[in-house]
Amino acid sequence: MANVRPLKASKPLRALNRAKFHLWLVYRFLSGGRKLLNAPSIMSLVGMALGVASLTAAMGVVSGFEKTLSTAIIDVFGDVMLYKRGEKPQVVEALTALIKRSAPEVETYTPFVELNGIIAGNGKVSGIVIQGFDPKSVEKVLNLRPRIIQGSFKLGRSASDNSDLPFAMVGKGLAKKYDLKIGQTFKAVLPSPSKIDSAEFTPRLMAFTLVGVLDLGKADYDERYVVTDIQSAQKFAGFGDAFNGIRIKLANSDDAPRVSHKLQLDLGQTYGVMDWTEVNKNLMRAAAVERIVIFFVISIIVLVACFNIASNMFVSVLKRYGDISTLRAMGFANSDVRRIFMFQGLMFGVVGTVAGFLLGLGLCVLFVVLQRYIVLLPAETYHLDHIGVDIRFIDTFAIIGVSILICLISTLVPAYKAAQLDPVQGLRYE
Amino acid sequence: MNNPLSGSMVAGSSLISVRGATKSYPMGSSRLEVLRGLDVDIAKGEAVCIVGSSGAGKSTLLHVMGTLDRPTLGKVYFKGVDLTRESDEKLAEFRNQSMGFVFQFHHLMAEFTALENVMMPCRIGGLSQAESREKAAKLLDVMGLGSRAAHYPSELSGGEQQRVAIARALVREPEVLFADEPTGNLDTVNASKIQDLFFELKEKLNLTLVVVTHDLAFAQKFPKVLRMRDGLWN
Repeated sequence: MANVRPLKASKPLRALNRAKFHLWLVYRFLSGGRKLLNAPSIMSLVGMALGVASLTAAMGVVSGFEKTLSTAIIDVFGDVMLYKRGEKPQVVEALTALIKRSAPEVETYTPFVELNGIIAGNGKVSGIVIQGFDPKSVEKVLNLRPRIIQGSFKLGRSASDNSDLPFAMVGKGLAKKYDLKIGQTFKAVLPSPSKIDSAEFTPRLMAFTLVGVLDLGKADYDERYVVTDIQSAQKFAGFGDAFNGIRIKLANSDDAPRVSHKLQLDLGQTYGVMDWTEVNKNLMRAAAVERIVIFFVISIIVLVACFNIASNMFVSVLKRYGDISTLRAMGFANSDVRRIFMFQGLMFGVVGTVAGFLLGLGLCVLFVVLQRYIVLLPAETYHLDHIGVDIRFIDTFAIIGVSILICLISTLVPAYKAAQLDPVQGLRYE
Repeated sequence: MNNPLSGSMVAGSSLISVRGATKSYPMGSSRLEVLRGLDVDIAKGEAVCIVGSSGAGKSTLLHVMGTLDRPTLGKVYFKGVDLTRESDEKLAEFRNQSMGFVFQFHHLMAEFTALENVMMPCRIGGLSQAESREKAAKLLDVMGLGSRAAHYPSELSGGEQQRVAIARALVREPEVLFADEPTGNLDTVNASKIQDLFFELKEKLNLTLVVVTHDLAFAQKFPKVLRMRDGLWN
């Protein structure tokens, strides 16, 4: 005994050593001595992890739905569309000069012609939307090229091409419905008001050579869109040099509602202005509300898992009454007892949440892969036939933060209960 | 050793003084009085045995002196400092530094080896793992349990378990060792060995020893024996 060194550690070092000891004690309590984790601890952790995994996967899918939808709209529609009511504009520069006066931040735009036509074939007739874009500027505004799934992205006719017909690209739904193949010719009909009798119309017919099939991301785009060059569309409709309006690209798509509102106010009712958020407004709103509802509903699963942890801790507190009392006799304060059980809760929270989050990411990957083989979303109902998964920073922060917080709060009661136990009673009996 | 206690001191030469200690518990509409205004003084280095029949209040008095319990009324002084006025936090630190406890049931923690059990008070006191391990290992060697250090309590005999518990009580070099029926759960041979060990350690370490027992043969080995009956000195 005489050789044993006296206490030398400084106060902060003692505090650090005590914190390390508390963690070690918690780990050993949870592991039951010789194993990594005892059975009740594993069951509690699995429950917690499954709850967090459900939350992560659900949020990833709902956010992915929003992202897939908004990306498809921005890629195909642009950030803002401006069109003139009544007489169509003929000079792009005249229109953009007006826009720049109202919204100087608008620098990228492309003129377009939009025509509602009809396609027939395979015994079917469908309404189509012919989009005529300027080959020089369209790619600065719309993101169509990466959406080619067959053939190539071509607008207009190059000198080396033998065909006299204008090129066209169609949505994959349309291609499938009419069994259109690359290089094939197809015809579209455009009803045009009759010059003789305004109550009548005369059909205009135009043939196109199919050069590409597009996955436009949204079922209604895929089933109706025919994309060609603006001159062919103008010729088809008999517009001359006139066009419907322009599509605008902004540096930040989130500014679109603000810019759109400003343009509408400044340009008046002669012009129609629409931003991408208005294209599927109800669906976008529903998805935004759904995210919040799903978060709260599935958080209840995490809450239930935390109650399971709390109940496990209550059992643990009673089982460890003797140990807690012995520790108190050796110099453990009430606050130390409370702290080790809170550490235990926090440890469950952190480990369960991290494991659950990783499992949730795995489920998200599985969801994406499964969509290649199974139709999980009917396109008619959801407008999208496949959706990506989007794990947002804010979602991650909310999932991890809320899960750990719920876990910590639910362990407060057993931790306080443990701290209030009378050590004398715990030491009286074996 | 740092003094964790902050209270004012009163005059007196005793290491532990109890004045008018009363302990009662509510029992329906009345109260059960376990201690009835006891006074006692224990000097430094003294070996005191408290005897009495079951329910006499021996263990309660030991718990009150050892700050594991507070008296309903009365005072407990340690070196003249009133312990009843100290906070739970201060008393916990004080227990860790100045008091060791041995109980009838060894109360070793089952998930920890003998060495880890003995290290425990050092770790609670803020010593590093290495330092705690060194102190605990040396003490286990002194107790003749060096070879059993890596064993779990369930792998030790009753006598060995109680010796590990004694080592755990002494590893912080306390001034007082409290023992509540330390041999009550042992066979005669082991009980005798443990009794001898107490006196050996008391002499070696200049300990103040307070033992509660109803084993009169053990009590006879003490120079000072206090007898209790119904919460009073008999």
